[in-house]
Amino acid sequence: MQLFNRKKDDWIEAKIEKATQEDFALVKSSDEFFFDWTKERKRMVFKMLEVSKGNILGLISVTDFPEELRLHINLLESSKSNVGKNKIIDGIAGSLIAYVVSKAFEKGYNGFVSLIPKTNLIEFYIKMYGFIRVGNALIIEGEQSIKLIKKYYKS
Amino acid sequence: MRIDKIYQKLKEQYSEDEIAESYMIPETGTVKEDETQYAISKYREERLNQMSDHEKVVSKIISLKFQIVEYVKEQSFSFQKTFGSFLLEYIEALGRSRKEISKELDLHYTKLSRIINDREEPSIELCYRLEKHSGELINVLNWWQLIKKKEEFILSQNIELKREEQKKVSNSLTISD
Repeated sequence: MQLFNRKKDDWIEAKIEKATQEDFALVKSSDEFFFDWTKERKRMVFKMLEVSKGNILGLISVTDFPEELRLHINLLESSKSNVGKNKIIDGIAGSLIAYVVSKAFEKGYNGFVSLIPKTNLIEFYIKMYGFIRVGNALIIEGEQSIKLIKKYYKS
Repeated sequence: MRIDKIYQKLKEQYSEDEIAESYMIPETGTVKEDETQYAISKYREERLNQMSDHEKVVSKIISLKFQIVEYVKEQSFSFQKTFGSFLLEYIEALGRSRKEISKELDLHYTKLSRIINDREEPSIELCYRLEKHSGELINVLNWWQLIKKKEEFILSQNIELKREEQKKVSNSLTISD
């Protein structure tokens, strides 16, 4: 997938893979991440890599609920260099969410993905990604999931 | 550092939108997670019951698309996962007969069957037709990559042809190790 590098005014190639045990150690020792990702190591965790440099741009932790045909996002973090006004690369979070949505299609879940974010952040996810509110949670599925994939994860 | 502490720290540096743009931080304080997970489960159950036949078909087709995407990324090749086998799954997902599909694709029924059974190789023209037929959910590249993956495997396995053809070459470059 391609992401936009704002500093170079050019596109970079990125890919998403399952995170390995080595990645958790690497992330813990780096200054690029605030959260303790070793706590997520028993869950399904995907990393986004910048292909040319091999550095981790972001991580997402997911739980599979196969009996309910849904995936649940537990945590998502972009690397520090890619947060805020001065961030270098755009669209890391959106691409990671879209990748999980594509997994939810691949598994036959009709792209159904849920999350329970901080209350103050809910409106942003609704506007930006097309999630809808179910109590304190947000969900996305079906056509909205297709739109999200088309926007962030062309394949 | 605990999730809430990190969130507070982030709020000192960034606006809420900037945080949301780069993170998904779970609610840990005020929300009872079990109750919320239960609410999601109930909603999921309702939505599954409400899904129309059309939605089910579209969902199956997109599922197939991402199965192809993931398979193409894999290093290994399998004769169980060829263009023909994915085409068969595509037809089954639509719930239509081979006869109907051959008509819709303007492809002779026998030719369609031969492709499904891997007795004949599909063409790029068929890939374009399938892209249109699937409402562009499975694009021409997805189908083409399946053909390419099989060709690459066959190419790497054809030792005899390689040997025969390379016998005909003279004065090749010598590369030292």
